[in-house]
This record gives sequence, structure tokens and C-alpha cells, in this order.
Amino acid sequence: MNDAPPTDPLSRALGWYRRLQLLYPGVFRARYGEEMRELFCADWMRAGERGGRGRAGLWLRVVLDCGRSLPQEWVAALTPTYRGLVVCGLLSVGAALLGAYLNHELFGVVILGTVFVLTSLAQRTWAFRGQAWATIGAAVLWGPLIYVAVVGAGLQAHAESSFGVAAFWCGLLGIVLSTAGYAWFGFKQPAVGKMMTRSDLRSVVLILGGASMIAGLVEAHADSHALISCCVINNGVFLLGPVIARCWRAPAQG
Amino acid sequence: MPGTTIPDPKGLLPLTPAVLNILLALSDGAKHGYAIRQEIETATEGKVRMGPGTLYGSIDRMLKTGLIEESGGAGGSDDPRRRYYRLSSFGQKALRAELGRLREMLEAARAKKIILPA
Repeated sequence: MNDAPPTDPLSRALGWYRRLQLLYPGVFRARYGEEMRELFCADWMRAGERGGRGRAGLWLRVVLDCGRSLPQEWVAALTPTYRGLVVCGLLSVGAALLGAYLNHELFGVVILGTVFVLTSLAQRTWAFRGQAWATIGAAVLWGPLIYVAVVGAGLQAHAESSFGVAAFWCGLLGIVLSTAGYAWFGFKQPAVGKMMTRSDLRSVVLILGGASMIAGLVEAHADSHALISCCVINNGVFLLGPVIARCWRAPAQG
Repeated sequence: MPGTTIPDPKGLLPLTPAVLNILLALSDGAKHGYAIRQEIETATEGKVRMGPGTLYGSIDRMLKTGLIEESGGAGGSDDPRRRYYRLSSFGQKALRAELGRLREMLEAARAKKIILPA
């Protein structure tokens, strides 16, 4: 095999087109990638008959084609479970940004806390579609408590306010009670119990613990928006990241 | 399949221009992606030029909704890696329903003398 970079225009153009194809979800690339390249080659030959302008026009059409088809293919690549995760991830990031805008207003606290929990629960349970109301209800109930704990951790890190310490312990108690309540529901109410598997519990603990720690550390050394930024990063990276990565990866060839 | 009832395609109407063009291109037999695009370009005198992403994205969605299906291939000396697609019974029904809908609109336009009768 010759490993030297391709020198003829068609191979180079095909290389660029192949790179552009990486923007499509993995399943789509694996299934149609080769046939799409075949079409591109035919277009390239035809455009070449009209010289440089023809090829410039072809690249413009290729970019427009990608712009049109990429969003559709990404939406199609998301299974209902993934869609739930992405919706929750986007919601939580949006709410966190709203929280940043509202800063320490009570409204911001409630919204951010609610979506924070909704996001955590959505790790697996959004697929539990029939009982989505229960997920949302739980989030509305426990979200503010958890947010209070996170804010408390931040304030405690400042070591300036006795309110911070009180808020932290109140929030923590809320978390413990709500988690215990979840476990109780899990045993007593099979339908609601399905909402929370062991891995969900782990995820919630990981996300909350991680976010609290990062928030506390960053809050101690940065401005007042650091906590919000942590939530944006936490929810964006931990929820949207794996979904996008999983959809982007091409399936193993059977 | 004998004895299988074909679902009503009315929920899919109106079809997008891309889907309608692909259904029309496949109405006279199985074709692969490249041939579908050629057929559309010829039929529309070059007015409709589908990019690879749009074409295969539409094909993928049409396969999922059951408007078209993969056929074993047209045989001959063509590239064996190419996939061939053909209209399903549901796709034929959807095509007829969409063309009927367009004809009704055309007749309404003629009745209002927006366009002259052929």
C-alpha cells in the first residue's frame, strides 16, 4: 500500500469529503458513507468539466447539503432514550444559564435545582415514559433541596456565612430523606421503583457529589457565576457528551 | 405479502419534494442511489439536484417508514456493493394518494382559472 498523501485533485477532494462525512452519526456513515462518496466522485468529475468555478460551486452545494441533512440525521440517530437525555441535558444547560442570568434569585434556585435533579434521573429513567410525570414530580420536590445543598457547599467553602453551613446541612438532610424515600418507593411501588435502578442511584450520587465538590472548590476561588458554570459543564459533559459520542461512533462491522 | 392489509398513507401526506421525487423515480423498477438521482435530474431537467446527504437521508427515512424496501439487486454487471431500492406496496399507495392530492389541487386551480386546462 502507498501511504504517501494523495496528490491528484480527486483523491484530495475525496479526502476532504471523507472528513466532512465524519460529522454524520456513525450508523449513517457506516451504511451510506461509501455510496455517498461515489456520488461525490461523479459530481466532482462533472463539475471539473466547468473548471474551477464548477468545483467551487460543487463545494458550496456539498456544504449546503451537509447543513440541510446533518441536523436531520442527528435527530434520527437519537433513540427515544437518547432523545430524553438530550432534551434533559439541553434543558438543564438552559436552566443553568437562566440561573446565571437571575443569579441568586429564588426563581433561579428552583428552576436550576429542578432541572438538575431531572437531569440526574434522566440518566436511564426518561425511557420510563409512562411515568414521566413521576420523574418530573420528584425533580420538582427534591430539586430545590439539592440545589440548596450545593449552594451551601459553595457558601461553606467561602467560610463567610453561617447561613451557608445551615443551608448545606438542610440540603444534605433533604438529599438523604429523598433518597431514602426513593428506596422506599422502589420496594413499595414497583411502577415508581422502576424509575430508580442501582446505576441511577450511583449516577445521582456521582453527579451530586462531584458537582458539590467542584462547586465548592471553584466557588472558593472564583466569582459568583462559578457554581452555575459548574452545573453547565457537569450537565453538558456528563449527559450530552456520552450520547453524542455513542451516536457518532460507527457500529462494528458485522 | 398476501393477506396483509396495507396501512393508510394519508398520515404521511403531503410528501416532501425529495420523497415524492424518489418515489416517482422508483415507480418503474428497482434502482440504486446513483441511478435514482440521475433519474430525478433527468425528469426535472436538472432543476432538482439532490446532494448525497439529502438523498441518502431521505432513502433512510423512507426505508424506516416502509415507503421503499431494499431489493436483492438488479443483477447484470453493476457494482455488487450497490444497494437497490424498490417501492413497497405502501409506497405505491402513498405515491398514488399524493398524486391524487396534487391532481385535486390542480383541478381547483383550473376551476379558478389560475392555470389554463391542458
